[in-house]
Amino acid sequence: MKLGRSFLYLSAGLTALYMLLPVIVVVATSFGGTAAYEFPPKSLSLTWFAALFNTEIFTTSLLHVSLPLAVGVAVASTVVGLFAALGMARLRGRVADIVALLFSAPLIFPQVLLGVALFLFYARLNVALNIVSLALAHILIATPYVIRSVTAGLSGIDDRLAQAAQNLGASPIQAFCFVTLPLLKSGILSGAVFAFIVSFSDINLAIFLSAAGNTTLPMQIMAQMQYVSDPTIAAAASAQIVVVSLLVILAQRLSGKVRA
Amino acid sequence: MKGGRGSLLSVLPYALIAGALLVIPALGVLQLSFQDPATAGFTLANYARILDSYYLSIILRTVKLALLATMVELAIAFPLAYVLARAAPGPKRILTLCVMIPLMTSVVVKSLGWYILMTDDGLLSLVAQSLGVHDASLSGSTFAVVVALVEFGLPFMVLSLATAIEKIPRNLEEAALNLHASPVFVFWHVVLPLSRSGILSGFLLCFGVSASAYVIPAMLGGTKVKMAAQVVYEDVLVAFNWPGAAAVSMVLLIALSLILYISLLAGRTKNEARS
Repeated sequence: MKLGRSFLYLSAGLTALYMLLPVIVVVATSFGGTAAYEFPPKSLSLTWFAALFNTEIFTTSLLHVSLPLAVGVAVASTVVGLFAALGMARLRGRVADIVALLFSAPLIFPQVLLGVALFLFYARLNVALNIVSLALAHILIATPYVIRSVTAGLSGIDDRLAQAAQNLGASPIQAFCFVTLPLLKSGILSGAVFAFIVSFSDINLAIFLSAAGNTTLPMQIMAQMQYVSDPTIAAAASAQIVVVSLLVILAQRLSGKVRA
Repeated sequence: MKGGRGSLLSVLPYALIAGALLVIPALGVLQLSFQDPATAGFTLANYARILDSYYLSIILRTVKLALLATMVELAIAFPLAYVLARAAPGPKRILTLCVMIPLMTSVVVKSLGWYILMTDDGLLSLVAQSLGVHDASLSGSTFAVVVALVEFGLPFMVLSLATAIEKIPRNLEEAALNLHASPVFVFWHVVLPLSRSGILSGFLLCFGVSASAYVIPAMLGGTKVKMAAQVVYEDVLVAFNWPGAAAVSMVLLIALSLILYISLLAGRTKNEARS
């Protein structure tokens, strides 16, 4: 019995380690002291982070492409997703089934094939690829995350609260803004955080849809990796990991509040 | 029904986005796959091209590697999923982070991690050489691609399984244990059958993401271990053979939908047989 337990925990721990290994390797390598990839690093330094902030292609990709893109996508997806979730909660019957299927399709459809389909779609319409065409594609794949977390938030809210507000003389819009919306706040925010991350980490759509001049950070990392072995690339990848990790922790705190 | 029109209006923006950017482009791919690259007339040549041994071998490899990765994930994800599902709130938060951070990190970043471990003097290459399993660099090997594919799918698998295991009432396991069933027996006859929905959704998710993987084989597979998404990429952006790319995309999509359909059917008949 005891042996079984320790075997269970040991194998669970090994799987967790396997999952975290590439992330650990990237972060450790970016703190290395030599000019080549070195894992485990024999000496530690901050050289590659200094180099990262002096390398224009990376700073541009991070500060002028990926971050503003992800912020825009998060805002747009949150608005679109909030309305979609509120509408879906009230739909019934066949229409509800069709809408649910349509809204989960962007999650199921293989992303690389979606990227190809959109590339060909834009090309045949003679739409030039720019940051907006990429942003639209990101909104497509990020909104289902908002819908999911708002729907989860809605299920925890008693309908009678908004009803009570209306009985006390509030208009439906007032009841929504002052009762439902504040109760949904953490669901909406954690949806927004996930939408941000989906855009910030995307590569499968960006491969086909990013145009010259707006290379996202993951695209830049992939392009540079094919030319050189430079720990500055690992530092750029670490920046990706830090942003994602902080936001995942934030989302967990937000959704923790929903449950409590 | 109160607010029927309001609800439709409220789902409309995303319905338009999904229609314009998913449904129409997907139909466009279908139409393009039957189009002659030169004359734009109807043709089946784009599909016939895939029967060439070069493309067939890549598609077969894609299915084989995706299946292998998914099976490995299923086996090694179970203990972690079980511990995660049954953990106390504190440890559960930490374990969830351990799953969510790799899940949300860009696949490019994770491939860089594997690349560092598997280049000529990477740690895993050196270990493999000293064990005598592999003579040189691991990069460009099937092993490298599978290791990275498994890691990529693991978070999906762990979350799918954990969601299913959480729904199994704990007293079922305790009852079996009280009746002197061994933990192994409880696993095979209680936990495993009752987590079937999680196994099914995990299998479908992981097979889907592995079979359509581009970045991992492109960054770790070298010239030898090519997968189907790379053919699509090369057709679109290198050879400018768009109808060819459309046909390969359709074959992949149809294969994935078939597997989805068969698994859902298999899941259903088993459920019905049980009830």
